[in-house]
Amino acid sequence: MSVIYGKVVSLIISERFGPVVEKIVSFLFKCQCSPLLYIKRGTELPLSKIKESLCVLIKYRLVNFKPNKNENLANYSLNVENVLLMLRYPYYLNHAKKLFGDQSEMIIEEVLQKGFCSASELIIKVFDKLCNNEERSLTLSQVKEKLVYLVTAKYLTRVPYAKEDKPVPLLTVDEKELTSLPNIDIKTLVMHRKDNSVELPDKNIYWTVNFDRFHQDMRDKIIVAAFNKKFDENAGEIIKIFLRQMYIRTDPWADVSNPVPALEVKDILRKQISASHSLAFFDQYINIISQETSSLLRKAGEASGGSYQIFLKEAFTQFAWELVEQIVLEKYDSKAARIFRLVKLKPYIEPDQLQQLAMIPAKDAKKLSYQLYEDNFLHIQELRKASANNGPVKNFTLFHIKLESVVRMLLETCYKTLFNTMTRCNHEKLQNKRIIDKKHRIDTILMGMKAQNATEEQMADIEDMITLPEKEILENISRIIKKFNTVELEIDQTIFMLQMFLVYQKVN
Amino acid sequence: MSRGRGGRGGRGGAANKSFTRDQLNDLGVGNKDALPSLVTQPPSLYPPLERKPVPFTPSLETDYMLILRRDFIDHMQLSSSYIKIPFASKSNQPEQEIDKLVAQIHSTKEKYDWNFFPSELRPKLLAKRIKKGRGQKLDVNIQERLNVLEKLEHLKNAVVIKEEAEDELEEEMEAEENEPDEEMDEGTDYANNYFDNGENYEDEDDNLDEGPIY
Amino acid sequence: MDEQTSSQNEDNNETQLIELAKTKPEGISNSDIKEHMPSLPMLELTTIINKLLKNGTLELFKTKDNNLLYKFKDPSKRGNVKGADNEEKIVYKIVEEAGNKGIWIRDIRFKSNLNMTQLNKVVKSLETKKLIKAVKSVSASKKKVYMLFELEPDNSVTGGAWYQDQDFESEFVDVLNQQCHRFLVERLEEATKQGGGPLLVRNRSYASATDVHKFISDLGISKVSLSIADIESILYTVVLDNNAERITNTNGIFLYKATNKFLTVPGLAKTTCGVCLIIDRCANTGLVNPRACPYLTEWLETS
Repeated sequence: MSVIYGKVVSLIISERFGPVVEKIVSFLFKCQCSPLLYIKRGTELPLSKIKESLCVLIKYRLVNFKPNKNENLANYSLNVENVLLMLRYPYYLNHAKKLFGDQSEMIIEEVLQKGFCSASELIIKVFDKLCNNEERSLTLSQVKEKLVYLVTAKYLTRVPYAKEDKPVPLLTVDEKELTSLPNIDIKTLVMHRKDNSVELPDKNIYWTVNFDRFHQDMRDKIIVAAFNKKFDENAGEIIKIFLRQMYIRTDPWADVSNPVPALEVKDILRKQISASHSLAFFDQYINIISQETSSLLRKAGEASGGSYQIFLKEAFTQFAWELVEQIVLEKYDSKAARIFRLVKLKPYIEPDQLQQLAMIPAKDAKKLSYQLYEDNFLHIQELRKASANNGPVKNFTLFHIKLESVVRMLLETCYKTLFNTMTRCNHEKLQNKRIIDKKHRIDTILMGMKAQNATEEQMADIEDMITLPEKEILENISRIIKKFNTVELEIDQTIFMLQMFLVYQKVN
Repeated sequence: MSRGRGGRGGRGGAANKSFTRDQLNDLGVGNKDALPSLVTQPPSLYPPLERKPVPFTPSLETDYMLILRRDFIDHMQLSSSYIKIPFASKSNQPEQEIDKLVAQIHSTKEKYDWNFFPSELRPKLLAKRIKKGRGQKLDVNIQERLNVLEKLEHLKNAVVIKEEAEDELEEEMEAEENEPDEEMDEGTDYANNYFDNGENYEDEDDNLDEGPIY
Repeated sequence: MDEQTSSQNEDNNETQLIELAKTKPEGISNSDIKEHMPSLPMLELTTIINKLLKNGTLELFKTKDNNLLYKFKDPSKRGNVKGADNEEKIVYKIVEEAGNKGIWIRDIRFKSNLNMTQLNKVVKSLETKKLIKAVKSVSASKKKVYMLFELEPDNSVTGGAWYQDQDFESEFVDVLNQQCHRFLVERLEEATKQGGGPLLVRNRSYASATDVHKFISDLGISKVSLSIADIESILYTVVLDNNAERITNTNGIFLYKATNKFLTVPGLAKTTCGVCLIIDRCANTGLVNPRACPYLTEWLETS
C-alpha cells in the first residue's frame, strides 16, 4: 500500500473523527499491527484518548483486533478498505432509497452513523426520526418489516460476537446466524419507548451494513447500464433479469454464472407490463447480445429453448479496457487512444506497423507511443535478432500492454486525485477560515436564540453581521467544496470499477 | 544519447540496461529531430494543460448524494466519535469561546457493550465522575452558556464570564489528566476499577446477572 | 485517328533509332542520326532520345571535343554495365534484390562489406549512371532507400495515397476518418428509425468498404482517387477509435457498423489530476503540489 494511500486514509479519518483518531490511524497504517503500548509510544497521546479512539474505530469496523501472546492484551490493525468505503456511504444510502424507499434508507443511515446497532434500537430510532418528519401513519411494525427485509436480503448482517468471556474477545458468527433476526416483539418496543427501564430482548445482538451485498448490486447496475448504452434499454432489461436469475444458482462472485434458461427469463419478462418490446423481440435480442464481439452472454446449451451464461469476469475485463482507453483519450488525445487500442488488438506490434495501421505520421506516432510508454500505459518487449551472415544484431522494440499493471497504476492515480482534492479543499477552507468561522459562530448563536424564542428582528440583526462581500465569498467557498466533494463521489466510482477488475483477477 | 556513436562499429555486444539507439529510434528519442520540447528544454513548472477534464454531468442524484455526504460528516463531527486534541496548556486552548461550547455539546461519553471490545480499552474514570457529579451538570450548562455567549457577542464584554467558563473547563480537564496512564501492566483486573454510574442503561454487569442469553 | 498515327510513327522512329544504336556499339552522334533518319524532325528526336535515356535504353556520353554520343545499353547486361567495376556490380545486385521496397545504405554496407567512403562513391556512380535511384522513405524521415532506377517505389515507401512529397497528410486522414464514422452512424440511425426488430436494425447498419467508398467519392473531398483498400485502412482507424466494429461476412468481406461504448466517461477523466501530464511530479510538498496547482485553480474558476 502506497504512501499516498495512507495519506488519503488519514484525510478521510480526520474529517470524520478528528485529529486524535487520525493520529492513531496514521500510526496503525505505518506499523500494520500494534499493541496499545506501542500506539501510545508511537503517538504520544494520552492513554485515555487512545482507548477512546480505538473504541470508536472498532465500533465503525475500521480497526480489527486479535489477542497478543499475552492473551490479556490485544494487537490492533487497521481495516484500510473499510476506511476508503466511507467515501461510498452516500452511494449505499442513495441506493437503498431508490431500491427500498426512505425507511430502508434511514435504517441503513442509522447503522452507518452508529457503526452497529441492535434491531430493536434501530426500529425505535428510525421510527422516532420518521415521526418527527411528520409521518404520522407510520407504525413500528412497518419499520420492522423493512428491517427484516434488509436482513434477509443480506444488506444488513450480524456482527460477530464473543462466545467466551476473554479479556480480548474472539468475535465470530455462524453462517446461519448472519441472516436470522431474533424475535422482536413490537409490544416490548412500545413499552420501552415509554419507559427506558423496560429491557429490549435483543440488546446485545448487533447488526451492521454488509458492504459486499451493496457491491454486488453496484456491479449488476454497472453491467445493466453498460448494456443499456451498448445496445438499448430492452437489452439492458433482459440482462437485468439474467443477473437476477443468476443469484438463484450461482455464487454471487463467480467468474461465470451457471446457465440460465432463456425461457425462464422470458417468463419473467412476460409479467412485466413495460417490457412489451423486449418480449416481442426477445429471441432477437438474445441473438444480437450473444453475437456481439465482446460476447458477455454466451449460449451454454440448446435444451429447452437454450440456456445462457453471463461472463462476469470477462465483462469487467472489457470494462477495464474501455475505462483505460477513455482515460488515454482524455489525458492525451484520440491518436494516443488509437495507438493504445491498436497495441491492445495486436500485442507485440512493431512501431513501423503501428504507424501504418493507426495512420498516424511517424513522428507523432513515436512521440505518442513514447509518452504512453513513459507514463506506463504501454510496455516494451525487447527482441534481439541476429541477422544472417554476421550482420548487425537487430533490435526490435515491440509494444504490448499489461492491463493489470495499468489498472493498478490508475488506481494509484485515483488515490492521488483523492489526496490532491481533499488537500486542496482543506487548503481553500483554511484560506477562508476567518469567514467560515464567523459564519459558524453566527449560526450557533442563531441556533441558541431560536431555542430561546428570539424575535425575527433580533435574529435578522445577527444574520446581518455577515456582510455582502463575505456572503459572496461564502457562496464561492460552498461552490468550490461542492465541486471537490463531487470529485470524491466520481473517483470512488472509478475506483470501484478498477477494483472489480482486480477482484475477478484474484478469483483464479 | 550521444550521436555519432552508431554506424562506426564499436557497438560491441555489451548488454547495458539502457536502450540501444535502435530502440530509442523506435521510441522516437535519440533522433535529433524528435520531440525537442520534451527532451532538450527544461520543463516549465506547470506546462500549459492541453487537455481539459470532462465537465461533470449535474444530476439530482449527485446533489442528493452530496447532501448525504454532508449530513454524515456533520453527524460525525458533532458526535462523541469526533475526538478533539486535549488542551494541554492554556496556550493550546481554543481561541473562541464558541469552540469550547461546541466541543461540549456532545461531551457525554459513548456507552459501549464491552463484550465486543478488548478489556484493556475500558476507561477507569467513571468512578471519579460520579463523586464529582459532573456528568449531568455539563449538559445542563450548554443552554445556559449559549445564552451567555449571545450576550458576549453583543456586548463584547466577556471578561467575567469567560474566566468562569475557563475555570469549569480546567476542572474538566483535570479530571481527564488524572486518569492513570500506567495501567498497561495491570492487565485484566478491570473489574475493580470499572463500574457504571448506574444512571445509564445497560452495562456488562447486567449481563453477568442474567447469564448468557443464548 | 491522327493521334494514333503519330504515336505509331514515334514507335517506328524509336525502333529505328535503337536499331541504329545497336549497329554502332561505339556510339552514335547527332550527325549520325541526321544522316540515317533525315525525315525525323528535331523536336521529335529530342523527345525520343530523352525517353530512351530515361528508361535506360540509351546512355549519354560526351566526346573529348564536346560532342554528344549515344550508346545502346544491353538490357541483359545492365548488371554488368560497361565500365562498371566489381564493387558496382555487387552493390547493383544487392539493390536489385531489394526490389521496389528499396534498401538502406547501411544494409548495403553490411551486405557488401564495403567501407562507407568506398560505398558512397560506388552508389554515387551508379546513381549518375541512372542504374539506381534514391527514394525518400516515409517510414523514417530523412532515411533514403535505394532501388533500381526503373522501378516504381512500393506504397510502403511512398506511403500511397496518404503522402504528399513524403509528408503524411494527417488532416486528410482525419477528415476521412470523421466522414467514414459519420456515414456509419447515419446508417445506424437510419436503420434504427426503420425499426423492425433488433436483428434487422443491426443487419441494416452494416456497411462494406465499397458502400463507404461510394459515399466518400460522392462527397468529393478527396483530390486523389482513393482505392477500396484505402477506405478499408481508414475504416480500420474508425474501429481502432472504438467507434465501429468490423466483422467478416460469409463472402469474406469486411463489414463495418457504428457502435456505442459500454461505459460513460469515467470519473477520473472529470478531474484535472486524471488528465494531468505532470502528476508524477506532484507531491504534498515541493513546488508542484495540490495547494499551489494552477490547473486546479483554473478548474475551480470554471462554473
